[in-house]
Amino acid sequence: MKRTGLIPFAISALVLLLTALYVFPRLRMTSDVQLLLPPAADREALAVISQVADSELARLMVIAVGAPDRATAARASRELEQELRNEPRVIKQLESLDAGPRSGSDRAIYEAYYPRRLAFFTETEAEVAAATSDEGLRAAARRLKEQLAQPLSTLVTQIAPGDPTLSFTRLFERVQASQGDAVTLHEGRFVARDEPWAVMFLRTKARAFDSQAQAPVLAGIQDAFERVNARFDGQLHMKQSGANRFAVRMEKAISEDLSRVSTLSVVGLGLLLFLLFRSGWLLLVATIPLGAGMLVGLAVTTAVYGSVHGVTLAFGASLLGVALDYVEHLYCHHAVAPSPEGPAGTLRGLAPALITGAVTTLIGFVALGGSGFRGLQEVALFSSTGLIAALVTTFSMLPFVLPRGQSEVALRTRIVGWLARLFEALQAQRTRLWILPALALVFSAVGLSRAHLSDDMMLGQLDPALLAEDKHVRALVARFEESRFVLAAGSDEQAALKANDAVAELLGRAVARGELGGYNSVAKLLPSQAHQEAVDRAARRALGDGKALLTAFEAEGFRADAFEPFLHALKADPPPALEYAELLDSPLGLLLRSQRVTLSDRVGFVSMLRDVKDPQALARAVSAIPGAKLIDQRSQLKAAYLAYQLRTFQLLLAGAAGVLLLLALRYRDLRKTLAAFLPSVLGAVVTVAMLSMLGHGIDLVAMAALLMVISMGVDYGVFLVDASESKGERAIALLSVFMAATTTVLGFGLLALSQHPMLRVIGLTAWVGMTACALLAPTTLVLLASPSPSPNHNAEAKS
Amino acid sequence: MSARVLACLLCLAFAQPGFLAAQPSVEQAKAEPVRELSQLMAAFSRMQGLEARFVEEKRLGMLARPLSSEGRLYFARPGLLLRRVEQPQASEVIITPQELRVKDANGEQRIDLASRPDVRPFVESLTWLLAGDGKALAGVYKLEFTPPQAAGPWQLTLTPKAEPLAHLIAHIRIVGQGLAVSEIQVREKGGDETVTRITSANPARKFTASELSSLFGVKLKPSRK
Repeated sequence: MKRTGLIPFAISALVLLLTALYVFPRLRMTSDVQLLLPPAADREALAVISQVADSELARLMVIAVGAPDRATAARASRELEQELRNEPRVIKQLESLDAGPRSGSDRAIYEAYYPRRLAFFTETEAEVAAATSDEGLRAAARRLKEQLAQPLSTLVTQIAPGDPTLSFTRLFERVQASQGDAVTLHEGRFVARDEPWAVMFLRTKARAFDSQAQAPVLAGIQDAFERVNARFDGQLHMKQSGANRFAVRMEKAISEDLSRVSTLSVVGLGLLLFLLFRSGWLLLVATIPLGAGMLVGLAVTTAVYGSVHGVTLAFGASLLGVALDYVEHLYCHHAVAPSPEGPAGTLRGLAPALITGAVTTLIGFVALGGSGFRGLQEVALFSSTGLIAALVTTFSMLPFVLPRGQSEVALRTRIVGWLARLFEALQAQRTRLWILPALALVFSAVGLSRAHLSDDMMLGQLDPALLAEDKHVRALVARFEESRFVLAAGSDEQAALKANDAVAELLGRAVARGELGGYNSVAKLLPSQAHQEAVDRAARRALGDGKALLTAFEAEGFRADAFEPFLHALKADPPPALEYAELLDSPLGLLLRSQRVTLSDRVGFVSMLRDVKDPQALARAVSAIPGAKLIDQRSQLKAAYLAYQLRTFQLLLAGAAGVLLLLALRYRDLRKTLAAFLPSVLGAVVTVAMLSMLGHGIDLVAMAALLMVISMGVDYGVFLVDASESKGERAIALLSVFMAATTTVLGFGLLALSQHPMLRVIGLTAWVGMTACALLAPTTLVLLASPSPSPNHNAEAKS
Repeated sequence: MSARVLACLLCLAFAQPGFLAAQPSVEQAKAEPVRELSQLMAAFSRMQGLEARFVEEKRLGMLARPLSSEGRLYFARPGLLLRRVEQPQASEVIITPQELRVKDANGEQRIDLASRPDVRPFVESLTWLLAGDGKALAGVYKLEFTPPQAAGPWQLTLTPKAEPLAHLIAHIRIVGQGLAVSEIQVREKGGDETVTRITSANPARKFTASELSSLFGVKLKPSRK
């Protein structure tokens, strides 16, 4: 018999080939956590959070090597550094590795600051007057004399003739203090102050979330450590901290999840197809719409976003699993009651139900895209374009490759018989079927009483051990809060530094009042140009020709002629103000870079905080400074997530309304519309109740999955409504619903076993939801208990 | 910073116990004639611990009058040294094989010696002195020993051979009689001078474990009885 559909098949195959040629050279996977950050009302705060997550700070890893004592830890640190510098996988991405102080730091500080000592005469312009008063100068002279009496006086005698008030020495101490007090030195190596851990700071060239670049680095570090540990008889242990570890772990988890879900789904589907159709060819054919959907989804997502997130691929692939339902419906109808016109004819008969199912699902996807949440938008784009492609290829390609007839399979015949009898029995007993929705409602009432929203971002749930290790290492090296900092931003660097000066002044006062435990700001190292010039000007004006200073120092026993270099500096032109770029190449550059962020159109500097007593009061005080803001990452992200939950809930309602409208248009009968629609809504409610009873809060991702449950679960209702209209094909429809439910529940069940927290939530929600929808599908029959079908209904049944 | 550390180390290195009294008792040591540097070096290595009083005078170009201070020195093996100023203002400088600690009214500062390769040789010169290793010492300084004339004192003059020490220090002169050191002069390039005089010494000082901990801040076994 002549095969039909060659031309549509060939055209589709050509389009898919071209799509593949477009996709594969450009395909770039990402596990970037930034995509999982929501945009929100406070866009600047979240932009900063996002920038910090992608800044130099994020590219910094801390490697801690624990040993029985500090001396061993220091030795191990030295050996590990050497191993790391010889490890090709590390060297390829190594920007810097610091395990001890860099040589030349002191010299660099001297050269940058000593010529500008008058610009750093005091910390603020206001302090100049007191420092240059008679009493202030006498006090400075006494301090200098005390210093000269110390064993370390030789340094002082080098500096004091040009800097009698020792402003450079104070600045040097500020610089030292700004490098933190949690890490100290032992035998030339950085070690934790309170524990026998050597610490190393490794910065990579690649972005922290470039997991493909970061994975070899982490493997190289591990191997290098194991080689060193073997030389120390296994008495060392290593802990690490770094955003790259989470990125690599996430990608690994997604990759393993995808691999497991896809492999087991294919095995499950293959088994089912073999049992019901005894055909391997059908399994191959089933992959056409699925593959086409994936390919088009990847192409469109890559074209729009430039990359595809791992979560998109995993979630989207699971959603595209719905495309298998179309194939299964086609197989069942074609096997049990094939059209005389062949597969194309069978498909034409199924078209209204398939298209209705696809459109209801698309409504859900489109609603998901309206969330404005970058991660969900990507999933929506991938899934909706993929679904359309899957549906189109089902119609354009499958008729050509499906065999015209299929052999009889005893098991399939028996199942069809059982389902037909079951359907008859259910219809006969449909008044008793009320027990199903009644039970569901009781269960929902109990479960919903425990329902609560969850604002957990899930980012830390991936691997609690990894998170705990990260926290421990951070605690070893820094005593500043991780999630709270002050941003001082401006249109350019100087404007940002000016705001930062004001922030530092405010934070200094807060520390003095005991409202803040401490802070770390670049203002101590790099005040704005205006600030430096103001202090320099004020100091020169107050000191004049230096006679007052000489008088004060003479009164304390100094010889006036000792300070000629200082008098000379007072007369000389002030040097240009110290700028950010000048310090970048110095050892202080590393410190400065980690506290500077580039916003879309502005520059900002970040001040780290410790022990904030009253965050709200501090936030209010900081916000009074133009360009400054207290950023509380945790609370701001939580607020943003909650805002998005509300929006996603609205979308859930809108999506459900869209599906209802579509069904109403399709059936033009309220009873049938509700019969097809309500079981899926009830399924979603039962899902919320079940998750609540299991102790899960309903978060943004679960809400998105619920939308999918309604839009996909409604398909069972649609097929049951259609089946109840058409007695001849009722059993076939039931068989296809049975198959679709089995494969869908299997797919989402496997996704629920994911390691990745987001995929796990999606999988669990969708699995519970689709199972509930399948189990509650007979409710459709209860709702269909109408004595007289409408005229429209008859017309529909014929179609 | 380098200069600061260097200065501190120099003061300590040449006021260290081997020079002060490398012998069982000061009186006996004074009586023993010293004719050669090697004889002095050999005696240094035999001492296990020491406590001495000192008086220091700093003559600085910046100041119209010299600055005076007094206090105690403690030494224990291996290379632990404490210089404690008692008058006019309390301060401490402690050297261990790993670090230098400076304590005064403003707090404590620690300097890790291994992170300062520019400084470390000078710390090691302490060890050379204690070990009586004149050859190693001669690698850093030009040594000039002047034997005693009649019953007078001998002099050992150390002149730094290279930077950065040579940039700061003109010479260090140690004056003694027999095996006992009586004075250390540190002459800086700029003309400033520090003179430390030893007024009394116990070259047979033994330290208990708790003394080692409280004086030097280290946990070590006490010196042998």
